[in-house]
Amino acid sequence: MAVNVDFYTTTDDPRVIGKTLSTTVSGVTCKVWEPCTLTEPILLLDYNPSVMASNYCRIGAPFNRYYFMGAPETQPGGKLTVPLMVDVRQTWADDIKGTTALVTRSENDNHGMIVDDKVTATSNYKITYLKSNNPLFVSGLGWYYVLEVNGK
Amino acid sequence: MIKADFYPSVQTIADMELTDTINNLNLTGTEDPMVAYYMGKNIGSILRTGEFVCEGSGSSRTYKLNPSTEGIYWGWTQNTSGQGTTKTIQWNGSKWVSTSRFINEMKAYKMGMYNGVGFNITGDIYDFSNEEILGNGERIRTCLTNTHVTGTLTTQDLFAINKGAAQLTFTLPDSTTESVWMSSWDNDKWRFDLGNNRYLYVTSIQWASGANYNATYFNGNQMILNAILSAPIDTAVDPDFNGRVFMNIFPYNIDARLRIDTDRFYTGITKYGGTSLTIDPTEAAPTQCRPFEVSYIAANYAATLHNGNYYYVLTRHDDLMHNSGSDQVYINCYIDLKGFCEKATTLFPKTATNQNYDTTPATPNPNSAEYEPSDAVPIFAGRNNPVGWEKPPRYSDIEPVLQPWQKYGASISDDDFDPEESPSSGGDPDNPEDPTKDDGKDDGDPPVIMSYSAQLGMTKFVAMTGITWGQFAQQLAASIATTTSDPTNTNTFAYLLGTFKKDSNGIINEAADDWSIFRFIASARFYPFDLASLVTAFGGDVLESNAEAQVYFGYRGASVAAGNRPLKYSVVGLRPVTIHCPNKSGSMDIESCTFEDFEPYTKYTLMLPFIGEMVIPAHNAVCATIHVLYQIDFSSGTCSALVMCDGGFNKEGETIGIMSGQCSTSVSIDGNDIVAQGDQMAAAQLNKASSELNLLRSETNFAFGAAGATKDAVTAGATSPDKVGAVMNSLFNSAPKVLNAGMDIAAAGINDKMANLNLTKAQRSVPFTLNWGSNVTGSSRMDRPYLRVERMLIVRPQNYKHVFGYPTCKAKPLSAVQGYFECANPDLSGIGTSVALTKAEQKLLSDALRQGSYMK
Repeated sequence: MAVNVDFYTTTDDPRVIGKTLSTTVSGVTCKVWEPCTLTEPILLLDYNPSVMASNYCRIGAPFNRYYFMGAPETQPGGKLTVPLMVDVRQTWADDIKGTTALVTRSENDNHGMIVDDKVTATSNYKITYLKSNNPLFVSGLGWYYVLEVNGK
Repeated sequence: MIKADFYPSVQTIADMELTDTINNLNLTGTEDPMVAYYMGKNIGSILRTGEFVCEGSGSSRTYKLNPSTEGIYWGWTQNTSGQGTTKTIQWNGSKWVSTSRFINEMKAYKMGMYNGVGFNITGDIYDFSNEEILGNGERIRTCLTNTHVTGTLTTQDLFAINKGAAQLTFTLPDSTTESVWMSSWDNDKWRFDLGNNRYLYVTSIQWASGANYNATYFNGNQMILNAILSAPIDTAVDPDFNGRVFMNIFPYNIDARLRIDTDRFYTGITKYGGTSLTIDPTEAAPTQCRPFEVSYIAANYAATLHNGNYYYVLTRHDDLMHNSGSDQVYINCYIDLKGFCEKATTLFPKTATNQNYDTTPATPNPNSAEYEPSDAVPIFAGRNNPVGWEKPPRYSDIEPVLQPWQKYGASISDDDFDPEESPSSGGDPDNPEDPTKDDGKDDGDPPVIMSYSAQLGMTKFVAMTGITWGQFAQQLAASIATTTSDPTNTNTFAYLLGTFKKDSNGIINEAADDWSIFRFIASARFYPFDLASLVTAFGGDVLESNAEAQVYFGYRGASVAAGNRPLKYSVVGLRPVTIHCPNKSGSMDIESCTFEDFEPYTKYTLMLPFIGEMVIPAHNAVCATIHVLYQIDFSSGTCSALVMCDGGFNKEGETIGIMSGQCSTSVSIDGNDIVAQGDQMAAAQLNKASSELNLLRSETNFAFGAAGATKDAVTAGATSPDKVGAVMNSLFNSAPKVLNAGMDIAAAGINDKMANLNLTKAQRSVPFTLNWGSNVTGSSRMDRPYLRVERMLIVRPQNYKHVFGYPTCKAKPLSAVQGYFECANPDLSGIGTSVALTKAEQKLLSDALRQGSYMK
């Protein structure tokens, strides 16, 4: 099965939605190693140094998906096989952005009263003493005896 | 025939017919002046100004452009004065355009054609077609003189009006004029920007004819825009904009007075003319006002508000508010919801023409002596309605809207939470709004703490200071009166401390009851702090100001040294101690609290002198003021500390707890006590004096008045008043008391031992519990309660938020998210409309959103 593939390089973290892609070579006709799945297809193509320099690609119709590239392997006969892994984030980036979801952690939104279980708590303590300004019990003049006497 | 674009902007009419270039313009015609036509209509005439080169004459006249000029200058004629000016038409490369100001042009050229609402100048009427759509979509409308056009103006209307106008001057309904330099479209209405966040919102356009033709302000024959000044919308200051209402404040009446008791108003207008209200719109925090009295209001002027504060008036629009029949001018005031005072009152004298108000006659007259603020009617809300004045609702109707922010007892604001996901407790009987839903507030009331009060018991307390117990005893001994019939040696403490039969007159009476000083001493206690400096909860002293002359043991008085003052109370509460406990960020505002302020990350321990430690729950302590009220019982020597928390997350004055301890120690006052004290003391905790006591106790051969021990010998030991040996000596050697005939301790021996006793040391060695809080000795005693806050140190690297994100709980469109984020159980519905997801991809995507992604 032949498909049209655009190859890219990207330095974005794999978890980025909306990656910045730099095209290395586009419109490369490849064959899909069969049997194959949509999520982890393997491309078979003629050796192409640009493909070797890529780490990301997009397969056109009927796949219409973005993929992370695994390590390409050269094959006899001047061929190249490239294992792929679907990038669901990039493929459905627009749909994701149009979705409303319950965000539980966010870089730019902090609800301080929610306990953050990812912080690193240490055994160190900082101790602060708070007191009123004036003493309650003054010990300046010494001591006092108090004699309780029953009398008239 | 020349057709020209008279519009002052650089935009041109698409169907301009002049197409010749500037150098080749030929103006031809048989008329002088030439008549200009536009769209087939005679729009004026053109006069030669000299810039044209006229060739030929008569019907063969040809006007040619002077090649030295940039454009064609053409003028106009008036019917009468002949006054004229020139108008420049310039070729912009494709069209002829005019660049002069529109208004001047209109004035100068008698042109009735006007893009938008047509108007008449100088009385001439050009009856154009009612509506004509130009090639570029612009619309021409005309109207006759004095036509009042109302309704909402469309973009095309005022676009055309303002088209190219550098400045548009118009008259406000209060006859003031404003010139604006620009206009903009605000959603559905035109507004003119006056600067400083002030806008004139155009409600209608009116053509007014007048006699005077003001070349500068265009009063009279001109277009008038009726507009409403609006206040700035500073949502940062007052986010409750949607709930705002316009409040009518006071009527216009030179004799009217109005008493207003309200907190704060808002406005955005700087001033009006005359004796107007001067308001500073830049004030970031409007000052809260106190009750003030409004003076009379002059015609067309805003009231001068006294009290020295700034007030803000939202609008000033006589046409909408002025009821001409009643001479009343109403000024709308904007009251911020946050600052609205429930005591806001106003008075509206009801008049025959003021039928749109539901007012109550102002009786009594606020200027009268009988006036009470409670006589005023509540303030009413009104709405600024350009169509008509609608009856405002009563204040009570809007009161729920103006609910002040809750502080005490408020739970954390759940604005950040999806209301659908708010936890439900399943019911709350204490919720007055809806018992089926938890209102998030504490239930029930805290226990009532009975207030302590000073009590004067039947006993007297004598607080002594500066002397030892022995010295005191010496004083007592020296002051007890004796009679000569007393067979004992008088004036000795031994005598005093002995038990003997004596009647009230001091006469030995065998029939009288045994009298002993010890019978009347209820307690003797030592306090390691200055009683004289204590301040009661009521602000008074603990000690009487005057010294006690005598202390009565039963019916027998004994003088005490000067300076020994009795206590006022047997039980006294001390002035409360206040400790403020800010959160981690140093603020007392609960809004800035984080989870780090609570257990287990932070622990709050209150250390109480003489008592010990009390752990205060974090939700009581953080951002709260902690009040500690000590109470001392001088009979038992105990002290109690009542701890209350106020502010923060507490209900007002929430009691945390009561703890008790000993703040004094008992002092031995007789032999039995001393013996008992020796039993209690651990040997290791005793000093030499204690050891001597124990030793003394272990001696079984001592006796009062032992044979061979003379009082003199004993007494000799008593000459050193700071040595309790004298006391002990007397105590054990009083003649009437024989402990044991078998006990035989040489007085000297006793004296030796007694002489070594020093009660001043004993008092410091008297132990209590090992609890430091109860250590009466003072060396490790605090002089006031302390709050010890232990905060766990939490490490967050600099890029923490990018690596982990912060915890939140918001339902939001992911398009609004930036950076790192995680979702909970994302609903993938709607994802895959263009490319369908397989089941495996759904799981991958769900995991990706849950485990974390970066939105770029």
